[in-house]
This record gives sequence, structure tokens and C-alpha cells, in this order.
Amino acid sequence: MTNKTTGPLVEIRGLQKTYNVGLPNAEEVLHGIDLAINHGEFTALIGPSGSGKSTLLNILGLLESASAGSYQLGGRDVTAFYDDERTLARHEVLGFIFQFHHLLPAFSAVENVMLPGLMGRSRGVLQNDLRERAMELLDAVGLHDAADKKPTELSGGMQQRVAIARALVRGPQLVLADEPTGNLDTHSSDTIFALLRKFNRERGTGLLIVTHDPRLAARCDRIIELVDGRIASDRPNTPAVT
Amino acid sequence: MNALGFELTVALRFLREGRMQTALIIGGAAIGVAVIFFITAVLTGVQGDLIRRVTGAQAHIVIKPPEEIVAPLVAGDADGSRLSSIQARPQRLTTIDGWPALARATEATEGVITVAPVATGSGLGIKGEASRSVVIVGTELERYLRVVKLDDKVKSGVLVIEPGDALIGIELAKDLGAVLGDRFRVQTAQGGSEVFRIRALLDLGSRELNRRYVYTDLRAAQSLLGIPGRITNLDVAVRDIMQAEIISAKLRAQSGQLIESWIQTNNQIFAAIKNQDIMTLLIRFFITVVVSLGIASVLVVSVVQKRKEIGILRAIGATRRQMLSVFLLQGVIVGVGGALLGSVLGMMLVSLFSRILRNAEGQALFSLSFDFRLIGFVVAGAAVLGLMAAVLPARNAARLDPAQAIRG
Repeated sequence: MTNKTTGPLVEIRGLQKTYNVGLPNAEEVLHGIDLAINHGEFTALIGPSGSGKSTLLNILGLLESASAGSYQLGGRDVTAFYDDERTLARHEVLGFIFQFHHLLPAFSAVENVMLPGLMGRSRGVLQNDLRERAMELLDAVGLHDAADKKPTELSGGMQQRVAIARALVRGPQLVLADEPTGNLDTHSSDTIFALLRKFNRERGTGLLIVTHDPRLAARCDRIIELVDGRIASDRPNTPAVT
Repeated sequence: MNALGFELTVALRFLREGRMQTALIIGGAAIGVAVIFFITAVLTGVQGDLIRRVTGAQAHIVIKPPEEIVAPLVAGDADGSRLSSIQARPQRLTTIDGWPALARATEATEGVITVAPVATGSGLGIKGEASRSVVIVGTELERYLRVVKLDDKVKSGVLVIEPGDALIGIELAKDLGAVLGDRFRVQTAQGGSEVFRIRALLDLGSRELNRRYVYTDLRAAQSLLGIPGRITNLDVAVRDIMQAEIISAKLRAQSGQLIESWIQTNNQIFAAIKNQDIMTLLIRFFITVVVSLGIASVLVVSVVQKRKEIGILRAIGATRRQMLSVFLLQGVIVGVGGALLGSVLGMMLVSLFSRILRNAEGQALFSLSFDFRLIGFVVAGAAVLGLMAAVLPARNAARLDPAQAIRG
């Protein structure tokens, strides 16, 4: 999926999501969303709790499928993909950063970064190159010396930086970040944000950041606000000097 | 971590991470395997000892001439309207016709190791004042030793029969007041009489045999019994003594002779052995089931504990099949690890108890033998078992919805 064609990277139309379909407690959380995200965009997705941000992020991340509507990712219609196809598309195009870093405690920092590349479908990437690449990324997030430490030996901010390196190891076109600074102090938050910005500028990696933090959103290029399962506003933003 | 491949790497790390659980379940599997190992060794030893004891100086299969029957002059009717009484005929000493051909045919039969011609009958052993009824067994010793292992039954003397030599049971020697090298006379109803020199004293495993058996060469027995050139039995050795009855049936189909296997003549003991086999099979089966359930339950718990990690792996690109493999492999690893450890433990148990459990003669009932085929079989079996035990938990892991799993 290297076709950086003229169209947007992500394009969804009339997207709906209903949980518990057909049951009495059925609940529609997304009511027809239209959205396009271009290559290399640095976007914030904001909105109150329960507005459907995480659901939208999961659907964009191919972790959940929509109940109605269409989804084009990198020019391909992924709406009706089976689990294996979705896994592969996820693997090749997307990167994930979660709120609670979610590193695997049984693996060292550098091994965590390598994991996405180890799944046997890395085209032409030799395992030695993979380690090198993982080390480069750890370098880039300033954790060169922590490479062989276990996640439990690292601070929250450091763990999140490892998670960023892991999200980037396969060179994804879009990184989906769910509250990446949600449980970090201001200083660590700033470090994380600066790193995301850096990768966005240097590598053209697109980012979609779900956040509650208005300070963080104000530093993105585009702000999408979701309220009650609908897009309430979608506006470009000129970040103040960081 | 690169060389092993993704699934195996993750499986090993997960196992290492759950140290306590892994150690416990491998320990459990090991104890199960050790017990199976141990009871197999004990059973083999005890049964072997029992069979040795029972069969003693018996051949696995004995071929005899058919019994002589009486052809009734008048047949009795089923409705009892005519009564007839048939007196059983006294059985003479009968011989096998054309025995060299029969011996060759028997030896060519599948499962038969060798045969030995035997001329046997009863007689009277006499020394001075003492006389005892004896069983004369005349044979070609060299051949006969391959059918009945007399080697380990020698109490004193040597296993050699030259013309005029005899090997006799220890009780008989005592009854006749004879010692090694002494001479005694054997007489038969057929009018034969001969003097033998005692070359060896044998302990045939039972008092009855020990006070009656006299082994000598074929020719001497033939002339004593008045059947020169002929034999009364063909003694047969088979490879697998548990198959004796099946081979007997085959031989029965080929010849018109009377064929008796040790299983027939020791029916009750054979039945007891069979029952013992079934009981231990059951025990082994249930141990296997318990070990499998143990592995399965630990893995089920592990899948629940690792929900989040499975979700992350799925999110960053692991397929369902890969998650399935990760947990199947854990089952296999635990199974194989348990089997290897269990084999070592089992061998230790066997070597310990082989010093404690002894038979009536004070010899060890079983000995420690490194049966690599058995170990290989156990390990392969445990691998399959671990795999099967892991199927359910592995499917749970593969089916986890990554979005839900990550959410917690």
C-alpha cells in the first residue's frame, strides 16, 4: 500500500456504529460520519466522554467494523474486509499508541519496538535490520540506553516513548493515538508531543490524536470535535509557537 | 529472539513470565509422567517374574500327538432312548509321526523362534533304598536351551549332557540322597533301565518340578521309553509370549497335532495378568486426563490474564492464527517439558525402588533400563496431549476482540 495517490488516505462516508444490534439495549454511538484525512495530516480528535471518539478511532484502526457506511483506506475499500485482511492492512498502514502505553512486560524495550516487525510478514526486512531500526527509533525518542530494560523498569513517560517507537517501526502512514499523554505529567506530555511532531515533520507520518487536553489540541494542524456521535466542528488550526 | 520466529518467541516469553504457573504445571505433568513410567516398570517387572515363575521349565508352546479316542460301537441317542457308556481309553505313550518335517514347518511359522524335539515319559528314579517317580525329559540340550532357559536355573554343576549324563531337580537329588557327580538308576514301565551321572542340580522354580524332573539326552530317553527314533513332544519358543495363543491357533490350523500354549495351561494366571494390564491401562489413562486438564486450566487462566497483551499483539498486526499458535505452542512446550522432567524423575523412582522391591529369591523385581524408545514415545505423546489441551484456551485467545481486550 504505497500508492500515495491523489486521494485522501482515509475516507469514510455515512459511518454508523451500533452496539448490541438487534437487542433491546441496542445503542447507536456514531450517527453517520463523513470524514477525510490526508497523508501526513496532524489532527486532533476532541470531544466529551461518551461522544464516540474511541469508537471512531477503533473503526479507523480496523479494530472494530462499522455497522453502516463505507471506509476507504489508502484507496482501498476496507469496509467489508475479513479479520485477516483487516489485520494485514492494520499491520501495513497503521500504527497505534494507547493511553496506557501497553508494552508487553515480558519483552525488553527494544524487543517491544521490534515486535510489529517480527510477525513474519515484513517484506524484505531482515531481522538484523529490524533490530538496527528499532535501535534507531529508540535513539530518536532518547532511550538508547534503556533498550535492554524491561518496561517495568521505565517511568511512564519513558514507556510511552517506547510505545511511540513501536508504532513507528514499520513506517506507518497513519498513527492513531488514544490519549497518548493521558496519564503523564506536563513535562512528559510535552516531550511526547514534541516527538510526535518531529516524526510528523521528518517522516511525513500522519497522526490522529484523541485527546481531552485543549492545550494539546491547540498545537495540532486540524481539530475535529465530536459531540454525541456527530462531527460538531472540523476546522484547521494554526498552532501557536511551541 | 529473532531466530525462533514470532509465535515460539512469544510463547516462551509468556511461559517465562508466568513463572509460578509454568513451574507448577510442568511439575504436575512431570509427576504424572513419572508415575506412568514407574508403574509401567513395576508391572513389567512383576509380570515378567510371575510368568518366569509359572512357566518355569515350560515351553511356550508344546506340540503333542493327538489323544487316542475310542470309536463307540453303538452311538448314544440325544433323546436318551438308547444308553451307551463309553469307557475312556487308557492313553499309551504316543509319538509324533514324521516329526522332522513338522519341526521344520513349525520353525518356519511367523513368530516362532525355534523348536526342540523332546521324548518325555515317566519312570522311577532309584538310588540304593530310595526310589522316586520321575519325569524323564530327553532332548538335544543345545536346542532345548533356546526353548527353555535352564541357564539361570542351575544351582550347581554345568549344563552339559554327554551320553550317560542327567540334570535333575534339587529336591529329587535330596530325596535320592544324591549329590553332584553321583550316579542313580532310572527304570521305566516299558522295561528300560539306565544309570545316569548327575551333571547339574536345577532349581526349576517350583517344588513339584524340582522333585520330579530328570533331563537327559534324546537318545537315552528314547531307548528308556521304548520309542527309538521317535519323539513325544515338540517344544516351541515364540518371540512374544503374550502372542503364544495366537501362534498356537496358527499351528493348530497347519497340523493335526494337539497344541497347547502356556496360556492355556496357566489360564488363571494369564487372566490375572490381563486384568492387571487393564487396571494399569485405566490408571494411566486417568493420569493422562488429569494432566491434560491441568495444562488446559492453566492456559485458560493465562489467556484471561494476558487479555490486554493479546489485544495489543492483535492491534499491532498479529493474526488470529498467530495468537492461536502462541497458545498451542505453550501447551506443547509444557507437555514436552513435563515429559522430559517426568522421565528423569521416573527413572530415579525406578532405580530407587528396584533396590527395595525384590522377588522371593531376593533379586530385584525390575531393573532400570534406558528405554529411549519409551522416552521418545512419552515425549511425543505429551506433545500431542499438550497440543490438545491447549486447543480450547488457544481458541479463546484467537477469538478475543482486540478492541475490547485493550479497553480492559
